[in-house]
Amino acid sequence: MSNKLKIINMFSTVIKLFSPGVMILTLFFMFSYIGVFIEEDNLLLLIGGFKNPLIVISFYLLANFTGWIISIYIFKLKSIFNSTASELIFPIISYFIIVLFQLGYYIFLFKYLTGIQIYQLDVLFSKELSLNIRNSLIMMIFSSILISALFNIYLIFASRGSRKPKVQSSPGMENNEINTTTASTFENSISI
Amino acid sequence: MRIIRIILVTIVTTLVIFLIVSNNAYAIEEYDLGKVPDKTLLEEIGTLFRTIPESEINKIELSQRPDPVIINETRQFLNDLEKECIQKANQYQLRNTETKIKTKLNLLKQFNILEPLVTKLDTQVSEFTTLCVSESEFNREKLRIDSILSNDLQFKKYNAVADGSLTCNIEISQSITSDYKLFNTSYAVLKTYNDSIISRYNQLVVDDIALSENTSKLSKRNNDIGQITSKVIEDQKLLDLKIRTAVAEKNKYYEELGINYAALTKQSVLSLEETKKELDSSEIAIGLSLDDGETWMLTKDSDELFRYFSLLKNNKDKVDEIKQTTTLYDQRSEDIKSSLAQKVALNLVLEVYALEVDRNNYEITINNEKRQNFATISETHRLLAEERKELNRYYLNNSSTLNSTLSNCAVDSETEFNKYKIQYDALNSDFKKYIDDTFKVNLSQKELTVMTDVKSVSNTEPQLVFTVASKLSAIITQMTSCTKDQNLDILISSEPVSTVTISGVGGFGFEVDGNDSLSKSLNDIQSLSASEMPFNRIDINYYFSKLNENILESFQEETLGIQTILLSPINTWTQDVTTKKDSYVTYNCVDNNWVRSTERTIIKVEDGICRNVDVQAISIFDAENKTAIPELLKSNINNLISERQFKLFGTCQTN
Repeated sequence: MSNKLKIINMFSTVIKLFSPGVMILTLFFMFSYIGVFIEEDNLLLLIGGFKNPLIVISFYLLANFTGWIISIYIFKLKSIFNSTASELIFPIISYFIIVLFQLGYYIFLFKYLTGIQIYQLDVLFSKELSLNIRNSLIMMIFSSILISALFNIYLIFASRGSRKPKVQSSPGMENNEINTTTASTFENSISI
Repeated sequence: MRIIRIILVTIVTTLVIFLIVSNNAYAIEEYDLGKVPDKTLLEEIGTLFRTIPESEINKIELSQRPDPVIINETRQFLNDLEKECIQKANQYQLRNTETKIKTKLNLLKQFNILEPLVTKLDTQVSEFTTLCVSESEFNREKLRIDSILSNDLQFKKYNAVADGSLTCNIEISQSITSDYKLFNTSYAVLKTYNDSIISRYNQLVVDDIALSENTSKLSKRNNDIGQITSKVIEDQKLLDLKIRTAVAEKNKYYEELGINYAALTKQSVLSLEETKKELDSSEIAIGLSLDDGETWMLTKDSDELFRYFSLLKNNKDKVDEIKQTTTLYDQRSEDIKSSLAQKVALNLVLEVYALEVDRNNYEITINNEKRQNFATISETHRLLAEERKELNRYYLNNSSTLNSTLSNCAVDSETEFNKYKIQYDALNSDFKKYIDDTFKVNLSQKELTVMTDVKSVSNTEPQLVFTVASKLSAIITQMTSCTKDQNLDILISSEPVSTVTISGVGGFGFEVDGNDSLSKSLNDIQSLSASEMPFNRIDINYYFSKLNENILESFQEETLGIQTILLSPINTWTQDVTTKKDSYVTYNCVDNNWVRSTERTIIKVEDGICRNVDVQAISIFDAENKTAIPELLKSNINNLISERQFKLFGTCQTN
């Protein structure tokens, strides 16, 4: 039984780690599709659904915020920050997953929309355009990092805050508290 | 006519001068080309020496300090050495000059800045001097041999003895022995020198052959490289052809790509450079390539880009064709790159071979230069070696004559000696004894060996055998013939009867402590007493009484006081005196023949060998001061004589 619990616990942690990436991408896709819906051109998905980069960036930031909030409140992300090691490792992994999902999404989208692999195509931009693209990308990447960092810090503090009473309790009480936490996590995973 | 004569005289004079000069030049070249000390080295040393600050020179001790004229002096000594060498001066002169040069060079060696050059010059001087000394020694020994060989009269005799037409005699044997020794000693020196000249020439030949072999090896290598290079050049031509074909195919594919693109869009395609230029200068925003950057499509904005993407999606076949053509195009590009790389590698190979050929040619040139130099040197050495070989052959011929002469002389001397030895053996025992006794006195140890040991005759120098034979001949003549009224006493036996050992003293010395006048008086009395002796050796008692008498006359009742007399016997000796009984037989000459007549015996005293004896001095001191000096000396001398058993006064003599 104990082994099964461990596996279920691990599975739930993995889902939680993937949740911000999945949520951000889903939301960004939905926002982009608003532009496609307006212009009636699927290929607009390649540039984020709107010709204006500011709108794209705005939706991207919104998708990030919303994605993180959904992940925290629906998937109870706080519960995975239960040790100092996890506080260090999980933010990095979750951000890595976000980036990975977004890259995969773009490669898949390109193939789907144009019929050719992205790496089969060589592209050269004019100076102005390449500057715009570079600025947009930098803004998106840094804002994504920043948002991710903010939510992770929030999660760390929130998880520490919830762990605080356990430190002050007597040794006998501590064991019970641990059991309770584990039970809560398990309960949450089931609810997902 | 007068002008012709003048011209003739001028030509002849020039020729003579040229011959003299060329002979001298040859003489110098004999000392191995380039071995003459390099005077430019001395000039370099002089230039450097003048740059040394005076303060540094003054640091050196005065006796070891080189003076400013040292370079001129050394130059002068070097000139002297060369002159002496050309004039073939003797080795002592040469070594003396070398020492002078080395002394000067040692003074210069004290400065570090001069040390390498001075050491080089020092070595050159040593080598040159050694060569000159060898040459000088060679000439000295050659002169000795030539002086032997130039004595025609003597040499005719040697030849006659060698071919058996003349029998060797004592004079010839003496001269041949001496000449043979001199010849061989000098020849040994000459041979060493000749061998070194010949060996040097042989070494030159060996070096020349080695250089020639090396040149052949290098030439062969150059030929091999030539063949390899031809093959490489052929390969290069093939590569060029391959590259040209690949370039043509590549161009064809490029054109095909253009056609394929044209099928997709009416827009013309551009190269990478053109695309970059367009992007920099015009409103074009995006460039796209489906063939790894070979050909580019341009779009102004995202709308155009999207249209292009739509085209791509709807014309999948054309895109595939473009991809296929691009692959072929890329393959040709790769082929060209690889062929160009091969071409570069082949060029590199050619360059390496060209470098090797250059190196080999350089070495061949150096070898040829060396060989040309060798040719000049080896010609000098060859002539010298030939000359020396010829000389050696000449000396060997003469050596063989001398050898034969000496061998024949040995045979003749043995024959001569045996002739008289037979006569000696035929004599009676008395005469043999007489001859043996006479020879024991008159012959040397070597001559006696010839006489007593027959086997030694063949191993003894002929002139010695001749001498013994001549002495034997003389004494045998005396034994085999005589004249009237001639007598001959022959000692036939000698037996010792008794032997007595006697001791003697040559005098007495007196030394009075702190009283020189008394010492002198006593010694004077001793000398006076000795001079009054009638014989050189006399009974000790006679001398003793005379000495006592003289001392008594001088001192009478005088006592010694607190003084001490040191009495020391002078020249003390012992000798064995043997009494012998000698038996003689007398031969008288009757009818020119010896006839034994009477026999008699004589008793003879024979003195033995004198042996010196050390006798300790006696210290005489009269504590009570009661005894007079004569009495004191008498008793002490008497005690000494009786204690040491001195029998005679005087010096030891043998009869």
